[in-house]
Amino acid sequence: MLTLLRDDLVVKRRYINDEELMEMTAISESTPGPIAVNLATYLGYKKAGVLGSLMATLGTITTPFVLMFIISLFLRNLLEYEVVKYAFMGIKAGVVFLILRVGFTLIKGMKKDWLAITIFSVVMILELILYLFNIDFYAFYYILAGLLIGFLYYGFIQGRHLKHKEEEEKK
Amino acid sequence: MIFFELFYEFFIIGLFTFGGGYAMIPLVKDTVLNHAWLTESEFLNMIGVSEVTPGPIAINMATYVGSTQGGLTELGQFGSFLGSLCATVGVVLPAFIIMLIIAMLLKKFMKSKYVQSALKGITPVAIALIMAAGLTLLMDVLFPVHIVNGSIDYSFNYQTIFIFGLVLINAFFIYKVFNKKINPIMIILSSAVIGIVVCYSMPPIV
Repeated sequence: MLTLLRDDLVVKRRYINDEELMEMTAISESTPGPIAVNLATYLGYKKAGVLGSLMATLGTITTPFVLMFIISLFLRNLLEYEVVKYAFMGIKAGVVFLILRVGFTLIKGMKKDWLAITIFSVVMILELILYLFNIDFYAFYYILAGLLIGFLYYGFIQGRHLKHKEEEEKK
Repeated sequence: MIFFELFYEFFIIGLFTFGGGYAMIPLVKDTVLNHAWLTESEFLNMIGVSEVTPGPIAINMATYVGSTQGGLTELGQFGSFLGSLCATVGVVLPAFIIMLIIAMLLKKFMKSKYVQSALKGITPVAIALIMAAGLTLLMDVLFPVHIVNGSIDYSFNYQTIFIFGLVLINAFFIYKVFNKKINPIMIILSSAVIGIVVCYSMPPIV
């Protein structure tokens, strides 16, 4: 999607330059919600204020909304056909493969300090245990916990720890 | 009130998704399964369709869940429309509001040490959730669960294992032999063909 955006916004329309696009993407990736919506809101506001951001966001979501709405009305009926049912047996496996692939790619790129590895393992193990025992739980509790731990550890404890080290080295 | 519930649940999902698309899958999975809005199988079908239709997966998922749930009310197809509208607006709204505030006044806020620290804590959680979702869904695909008279029965279907193996081999060929980047649309479409071929050529053992 990023290459599409670049072709249109940077090369064709010259709304922004490459550097601004990079900065926008970085901000969008660290704010909640779909990245496309974040980008549209940000760019829309920069170019044309609040109304601009509203229009840009509506533009981003209208096509997928309409398409998916139409599909949703027919999908269940389509699944009555044998061919479609069999095709979806394959598609399910394909989807699982894609999710696992994204997971492995992200693990490769993860910063691996002791806390990150601990958080990762605890969440993984808890999720699998809850799955095996068929217990309902909401994923956003983990995210809240991660937010809090990251804020406290990287924001306060680690910073102070490093400062101590620096001071000791100075002495 | 199902419409308010759809709006609220997808608002929460939108609020707690960091990193877009795939990071949203575990949250949507929990919500739709806990509410019994979709089964695991329907959930995977929905993602499959989302992958091949244009636009952010988040919007596709919200629209689909909203439409199927709203359609169950006495309002019929108008209910479907209203439901998908509630869910889609819900999932978009937090991103829109937060991004607007940041664009207006708080660009520096994102660069602050404390915000970056909090995000550092979220990253491993988000990755673990994606991996766990992938693994549990893999279990569901390979060993579909049937509930018979209230007790859980794990069935074993050799077709699905065969299909998953072929999907892996297919991805390997696309990546290594043709030296192409793995494109989700290509994977989904070729998986559909694999499903059809396997199911027609190998009758299920009952």
